[in-house]
Formats: sequence, structure tokens, C-alpha cells
Amino acid sequence: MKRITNISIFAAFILLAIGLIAPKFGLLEALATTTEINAESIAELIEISKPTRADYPSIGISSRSVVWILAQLHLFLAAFVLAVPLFVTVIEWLGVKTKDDRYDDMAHEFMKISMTAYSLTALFGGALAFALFLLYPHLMDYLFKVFDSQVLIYALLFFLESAILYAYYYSWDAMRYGDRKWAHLSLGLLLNVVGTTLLLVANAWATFMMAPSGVDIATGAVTGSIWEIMKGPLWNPVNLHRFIANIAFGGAIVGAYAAYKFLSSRTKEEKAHYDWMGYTSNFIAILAFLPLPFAGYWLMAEVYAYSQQMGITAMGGILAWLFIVQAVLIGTILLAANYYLWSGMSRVSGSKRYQWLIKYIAVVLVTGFLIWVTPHTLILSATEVATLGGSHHKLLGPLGIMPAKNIAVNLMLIFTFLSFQLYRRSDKEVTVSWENKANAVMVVIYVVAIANVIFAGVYYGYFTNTVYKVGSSVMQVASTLVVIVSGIVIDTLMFRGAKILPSVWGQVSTRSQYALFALPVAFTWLMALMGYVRSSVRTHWHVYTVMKDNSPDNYIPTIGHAGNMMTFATISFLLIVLFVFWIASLSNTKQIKPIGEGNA
Amino acid sequence: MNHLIVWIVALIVVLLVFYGLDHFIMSIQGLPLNLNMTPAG
Repeated sequence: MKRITNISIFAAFILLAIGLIAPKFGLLEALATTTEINAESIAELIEISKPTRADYPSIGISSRSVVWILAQLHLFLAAFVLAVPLFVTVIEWLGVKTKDDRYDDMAHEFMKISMTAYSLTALFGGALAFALFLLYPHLMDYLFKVFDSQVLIYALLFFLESAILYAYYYSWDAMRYGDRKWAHLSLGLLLNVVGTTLLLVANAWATFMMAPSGVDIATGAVTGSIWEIMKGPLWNPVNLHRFIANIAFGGAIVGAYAAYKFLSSRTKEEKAHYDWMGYTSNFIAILAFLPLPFAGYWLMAEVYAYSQQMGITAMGGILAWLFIVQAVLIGTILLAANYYLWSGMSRVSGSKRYQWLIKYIAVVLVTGFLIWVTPHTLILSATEVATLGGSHHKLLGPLGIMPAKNIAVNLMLIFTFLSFQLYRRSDKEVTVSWENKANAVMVVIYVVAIANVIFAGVYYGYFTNTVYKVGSSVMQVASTLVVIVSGIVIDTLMFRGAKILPSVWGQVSTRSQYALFALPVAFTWLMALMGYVRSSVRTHWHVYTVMKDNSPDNYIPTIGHAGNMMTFATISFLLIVLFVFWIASLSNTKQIKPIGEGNA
Repeated sequence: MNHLIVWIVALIVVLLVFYGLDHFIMSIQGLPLNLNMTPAG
């Protein structure tokens, strides 16, 4: 009966969440009628959408640089605060399911970090809005005319997000057990529904600027409903990519917090707690990161489908070199995450069974990394070209193109999952009778998937036409996903009732904690880098093909300048993160009352 | 002997699954394959 009551409360909150979202869609349906175009509004939009150089105010420094830094910092913080409640609610639910208070404490602590960052997110959001209105008034005027009252829905969602977030965090201890816990979990669910909707709305603005829909290209006049404007060709790929990336990013940041606390812990208990917290954070970050490249593939495929020119600008033109930098950063993430897992095996005596495999995984990861960072073309002098025997090295040239990189990326992901699987198997001893059969299937899946990835990359990539080359990359992705999904399913079934071997939390090397620091640094840089690429593909347009950028900054900057800007944003964010960690730790610090001081 | 059979059966089943998966994935993209995996389009 009690269980039914709990489920009823939970269901009621889910219905409330759906109820909150449904009117939004109802509203969209109501707005789905095509807006009537009149000559006056067209004339007004033509006027707004064609600003001249003189229409851009100048404050003495590059307007683009100001907006760039503010937007990037707002985005970093927003990604973090939207992501943390997503996995916090899951961890809180795990606490209820397993009746283990440690999950609840950890989820609460994760939220504490995110709370400090929340107000900073709003401050940077406000500063960004002011900067945009001041420095790009025509663009903002145009966007507000296009998105119209939808911006108020965004504001409403923001109020809701704040209210629910504060209620969720501050009611944690007051709603910790029994029926109240279910109500609290439902608050968490509601928070995530509102937070994710906020993300989708903001994404619509960014993707409208990249691939506008619902407007007349020649005049900029609004021809469709708000729904047609929002659901441009790039909206859903960006939604998926950002949603997954945010979780990975959020996991990496709280992982660094756990490492920071681990290194500064004085007692064994504290070390054990923060070691476990770091492990969980790394688990979240990497599990979310594994499917991310595939979401990225989809986004780029849609970019090419929308405009080949835009795709070539991104991956074949000036921005192409940034994809090599991307490879370095992703390689860093994978190497750091794997290293952390291997170090973590020292916590469990059962890991000795698998440690011999680590060196082989390391060889594959390093080889894959080197193939991924091999550029297709090099900037060479005439002498160097002569020495090389042409602009492409005969051996390294073939490694510079996508088929080789697709093989490398997929193998790196498969072997990272293998590290994961070995780590998770380390503290378990299987008791089911069909262990050998399941292991045989798992090993064979790995072998066949790896062979399939290499076959697809080599045969279709080098010996068939371009269409088959591109199509075969989906085969490779599917092979990797089969490994991941079947690994999770087989292990889940096989470890039911398994004997758990003792793990000594806190018994991990200090070096491993630095790997946890490396993750958020690389993730932050990666977001700055690829966010820049995503935005820069618009080249000299504010709104691609609709509204030209006539400001003094209407060109793609040099790679060096862009690199400096990204680095500045990254370092600034990391300093903010340190501030957030310090504030979060401060709330636990109490000054001891000096001896002899009275109450008066 | 039983152990060997388990591995051989596992290999055959998994190979067939991946073979079918490859054909399916390429055909839904409008890129059919011949039985020997060469492009049929």
C-alpha cells in the first residue's frame, strides 16, 4: 500500500511535469499557423537585417572578443549547472533503490557545487545580454522580431528553473526519507525537465543563426510559425550533442572537485569518500563521452546536408586544422580516463586477473591517438616538399584522411570501454553456471567488432567510392555501439548474485587524481574549440544567408588569435571553477570559538 | 571439446549478426551490398 502511495506521488509529479510542458507544445501548435506577411513588416525587417558598418557601436576594443568571452563563459557555466542535476537525480534514485545513504550524501554534495555556479551562470548570462544589446543592436532587434514572445517563455522557464533548483537543494534534508523522498525525487525530475527545455530553447537561437528556417532568405521576413523557426535542420543534432556533452562536462568538473578534496583530505574516511566520489564522476563523464563522437558525426552530416559549403568550411577549409587540435584534446581525455581506471584497479585485489591486458590497451590507445593527430596536408617550404617527395607523405598521407581516423576513433572507444569493463569486473567473482559461454560471446563480439571496424575503414574507405566511404562509417559506429550495449547487458546479467570482492576506497595513487584534473581542463578547452568552429562556420553572416555581418570583425580570425581567445576563456573558467570549489568547501568550515570570549 | 564448440558457435553467431547488421545499415542508407560485401549500387 505504501509502495503504491509512493509510486502515486511520483506519478503525480511526472504528470505535473508533463502538464507544464504540454501547454508549451499546445502553444506551439496554436502558433503553427503561418504568420501573415505584410509589406510594412517586410520593409522593417529588410531595414533591420541589413546594417551598415556605421550601425555597429564601438567601445574601443573588439566587440566580437567581448561577446566571445562572455558567451563562452556563460555557456561553460550553463552546461555545468544544467548537467549536474541530471546525474544527481539518478544518483539520488540509486540511493533510494539500494538504501545506501552514501549515494544520497554524494548527490547532495554534487548539488552544493552546482549551486555556487548557478548564480555565476545568471550573472554571465546577464552580462552577455547587455553586451549583445550594446554592441550588436541590429542583430538583437532582428532576432527578437523573429523569436518574438518565445523569449518570454525562456524567461519564464528561467524563473521556474531557479525556483525548483532552490526548492530541490534546500529541501534535501527535510525530504530525505519515505514518501517525502519520492516527492523530492519528483522535484529533481521536474528540475531536469525545465532545465532541458531551457537548453532546447537556447539551442534554437544558435541553430537559427547557423541554418535559418521559417524566414524568407531574401528579405529576412518571418514566413513561418515559431515552431518552424525553432525546428531548423541543425536543431536536433545540436540538442543531442549538447545534452550528452553537458553530462560529460559536468561529470568531469565534479570529478576535479573530488580530486581536490581527496588530495586535501586528512582522514582515511574522507579520502575513501572522495575517492569514491571521483570514481563516480569519472564513470559519469566517460559513459556520457563514449557516444559523443557519434552525436558529433550526426551534427556534421546534417551541416553538410544543409550546406556543403558550410561543411567544407568546417572540415576542409581554414577550420580543418582545429579538428587536429580536437583530436589531441579527445586523445588526452581518453588517455587520462583510462589511466585513472587502471590506477583505480589498485583498490581491488581481484584486478590482478586483468592487469596483463592494460599494456595492450595502452598500445592501441597511443597508436589510435597518433593516427588521429596525423594531418592530411602540411604547411611546407619548397625544400621540404622536395625532401618529402610531394605534398603528402607516401606512408603518412593515407593516415591523414577520415577512413583512417574513423578506425582510430572507434578502436579507441572500444578499448576505453574494455578498460571500463575490466575495472567493473575487478571486484566481482561470477557465480552463474553460464559464465564461460557469456565470456566466449563477449570476447568474440570484441574481436568481430574490431575486425569489422578495420574492414569497413580500409575496404570502403580506400577501395570504393566516396558515398560508400561515408556510409561505412555508420557500420563502424554500429560495431562500437554493439560492443558497448552487449558489454553492459552481459555484465548486468552475469553479475547477478556475484560474490563481491573487497575494495579499499582511498587506496589509490595521488597521480590518478591528477588524471581527474586533466579531464575538465581538456573538456573545457574542447568545448571552447568546437564551439568556436560551430559558430565560425557562419563566416561573414550573423544569420547565415539572411543577415550579413558588416561589423569590423566580419572575418574568420587567424588560428593563432582564435587559439588565444579559447585559451583565455578556458583559463578564466578554470579560475572560476577553483573559486566555486573554494566557496563550496567554505560552507563546511567552522571557526572554533576563541577561549575566553563571552556570549555578549 | 565442449569448450571449443562453445567458442565456434559463438564466433559463427556473432559473425552472422555483424554480417546482417552491415547489410542492414548500408541498405537503409540506400547503399546496398552484394553477398560478398562489395558495393551493389
